[in-house]
Amino acid sequence: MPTATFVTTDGVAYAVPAGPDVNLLDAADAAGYTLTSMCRQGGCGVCRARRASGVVRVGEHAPDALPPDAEKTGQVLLCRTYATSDVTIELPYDSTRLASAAVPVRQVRITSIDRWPGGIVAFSVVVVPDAQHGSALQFEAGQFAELTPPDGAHARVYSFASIGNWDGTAEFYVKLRPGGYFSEYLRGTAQVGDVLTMRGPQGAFALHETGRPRWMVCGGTGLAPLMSMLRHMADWGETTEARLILGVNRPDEVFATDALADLQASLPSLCVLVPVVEPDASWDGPVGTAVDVLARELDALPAGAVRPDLYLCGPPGFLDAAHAAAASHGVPGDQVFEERVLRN
Amino acid sequence: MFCYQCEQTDRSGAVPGCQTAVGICGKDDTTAGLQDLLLYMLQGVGQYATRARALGITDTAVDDFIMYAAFTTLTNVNFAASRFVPLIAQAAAYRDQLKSAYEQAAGAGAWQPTGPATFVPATTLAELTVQARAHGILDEAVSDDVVGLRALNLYGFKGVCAYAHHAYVLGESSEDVFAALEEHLDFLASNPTSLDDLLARALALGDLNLEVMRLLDAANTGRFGSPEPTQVRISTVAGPAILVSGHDLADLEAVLKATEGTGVNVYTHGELLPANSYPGLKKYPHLIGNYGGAWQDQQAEFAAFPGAILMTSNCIIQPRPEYRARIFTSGPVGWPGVRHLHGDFSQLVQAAKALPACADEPEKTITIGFGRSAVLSVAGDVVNAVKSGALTHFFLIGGCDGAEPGRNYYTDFADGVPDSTAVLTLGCAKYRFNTHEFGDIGGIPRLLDIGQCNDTYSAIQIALALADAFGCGVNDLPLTLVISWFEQKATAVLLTLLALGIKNILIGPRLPAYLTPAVIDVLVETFGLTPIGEANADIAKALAA
Repeated sequence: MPTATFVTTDGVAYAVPAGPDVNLLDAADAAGYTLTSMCRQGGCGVCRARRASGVVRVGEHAPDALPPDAEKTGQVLLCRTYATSDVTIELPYDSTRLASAAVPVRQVRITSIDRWPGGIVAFSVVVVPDAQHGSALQFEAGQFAELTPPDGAHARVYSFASIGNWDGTAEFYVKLRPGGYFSEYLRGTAQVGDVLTMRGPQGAFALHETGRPRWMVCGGTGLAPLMSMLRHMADWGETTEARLILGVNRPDEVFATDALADLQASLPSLCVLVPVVEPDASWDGPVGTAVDVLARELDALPAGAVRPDLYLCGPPGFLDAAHAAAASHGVPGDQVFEERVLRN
Repeated sequence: MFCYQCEQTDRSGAVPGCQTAVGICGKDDTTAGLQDLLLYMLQGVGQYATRARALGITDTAVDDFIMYAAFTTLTNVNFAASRFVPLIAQAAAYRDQLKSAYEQAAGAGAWQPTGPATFVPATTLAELTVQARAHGILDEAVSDDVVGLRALNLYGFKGVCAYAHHAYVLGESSEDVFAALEEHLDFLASNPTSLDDLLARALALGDLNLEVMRLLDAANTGRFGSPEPTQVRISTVAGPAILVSGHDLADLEAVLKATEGTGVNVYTHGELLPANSYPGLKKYPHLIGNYGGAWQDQQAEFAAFPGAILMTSNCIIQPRPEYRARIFTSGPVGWPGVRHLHGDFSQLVQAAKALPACADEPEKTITIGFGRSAVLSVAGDVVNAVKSGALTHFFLIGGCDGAEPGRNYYTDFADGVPDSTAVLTLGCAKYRFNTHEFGDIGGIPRLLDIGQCNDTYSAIQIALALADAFGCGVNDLPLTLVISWFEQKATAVLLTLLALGIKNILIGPRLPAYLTPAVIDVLVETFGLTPIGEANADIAKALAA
């Protein structure tokens, strides 16, 4: 039977039995290691890793989750990859992100639903205490959870916008989409008091302590995990320079203004830029996409200045453009951290 | 990075030492470099503090800082790079403050600073990381023997500072100790090259550490009373709970006070086990007992413990995802992404209330609490047992535990000694065998736990009292010291034992990587320091001596 060896960025290796009939995610699960994943059906790209050696078969998957170019460089989706020989897989996170316990499944009760500009809904929940997990809700800033509405039909994935706490509360942002399963639930029957099933926290998108400035770039509800990270920095009294570039299409779609004002008040090192793509006559803020503004800000750095760490959250096209802007302005690839958002 | 300060350092290459991006302990090269730089800055503080003190200028805040800052650089204490930026800035601020005071007092004949006294640290982590590369322990300009003995002096100094910090937070300190610490930093700043001077300084550190450990003993017993033989529960009871690990009795007391009347129980872990034998701590009914074993088992034990966890001093290792959100640090400890508490433990209590409760397990106990007061209270019985031949030998198995297989030696040793002998324990190496059945000799338990590594003074006093009772020297007692070393506190203790003239100590599992063959030869020749071998052979040899 082939062996799959998973190697984390800090050099820790985990060898597990694998084979042509079990995908590498399940093989790791069977050996007691929970690797970061989300949809487990080749659609989200969260379980992306790199094959360093060995022969594998890669099953069907969405091109957004694993573009052909990435596949040519050895990138794989663990949920769609089957080992046909001994393989070595490089995971894009360190060993502290690799859990040996199952992902918690808990019940959470909706405590508020707020409709924001741009078709965005912010809703808050509190966990239903249970003997296994107590009443706390702890997670790392940047992580996500799968949420299943009361009908139990499907789970959808959303990043936490809040930070872990001992009161068991959490906040999520959802962009309402026509026909979207969770969108329809929020638009229709959702009400305070509803109990959802939450599977999480999950994910390896997290802050890295490098001492360099942190620039966070996103569009729309890609704000959620970055909001969590910035709230974490505020809560911990961090003084690292931070910038948030939140792109929206039109001035009337600017959202989370109160939350961002609160954040700036508690995180003095934060500079917030909200560019719009289609300004109107009254708009006096920055114009362009979030990536346009990122490029301009990088341009404005003095020669020789420390390049910031970039935290990106958005759809594949956004991420590709942001990576290109970063590379052309001298930001090393290992200073760019991303969370890929796919419609679910 | 280059680091070889602890026993587990990488010995796979031609030159022993952790030299990769992440050391075996988990410390990354950024943090290791910043710690080197902080120690360099402390030497600059020592240069001015020594000269200022000679003119009557002292500042307790500076000495407090020296002890604390040095403690942060011990193995398994602080892994958070960002914590070292303000520490380095603070070191520069204290140094410059002393410089001003000194130069004002000294006038025209003031000392012209050199070395770290003149170094200007950068202000950002990224720039400090670059500066740090020039201030590691290695020095190609001198011999390996000199580098190794400088390392012994630096690492021993760290250990002394750690113990002095423990005493200080419990209210015991001494200007003589402060002066000696400052002077040792000044010595290190001089880039010493004389092997004789370096060895003599190392032994002087041992003497200093004896005084520091006397202060620590006075601090512990002064605040909490003398340890007394105690049955300690090692299984849980139902209820929300906090697990306190490390060595810091002051923090444990603060947690016990913060949880009074809250329904939250408290357990000790690792080197805090002996806390359960202090009257001033075991009086708290919600101090239930001890959970788990030695430091290297913490990842599994903390993951299994359902409540909140506090790490108060050494020895933290990489928190696993299963408990990373519910572990807190205090004092010199740090880990990136782990919440640090500054004396206010209300968040810890809040966490314990929100987390799942411990289960009610069948009661299991072990006996501890044989500090010097308890042992010496039955000194007459002990002497009589020796004189009658019922008690033929004492083995003191002391020091740290660790993960590597070679440490089974200490289990084999404890289990292999004859029934007519007593085993005294000190430090966390005891966890390998402290649940084994040892029985007693005429009512005197054969397994006597003296306490933490912090309680070395108690062990020394027991040895001296027995020597006095028998009218002989410590080296003439039927006593064998078997030391399991791991990090810099143990280095300081070893230097103390050597400074006291104690010979034929068995030490393992491996000798410090920084001691060169020539230095080891001197230690073997002068002190009979002996690397451990096979347990039964070592026992036979000790009994035949």
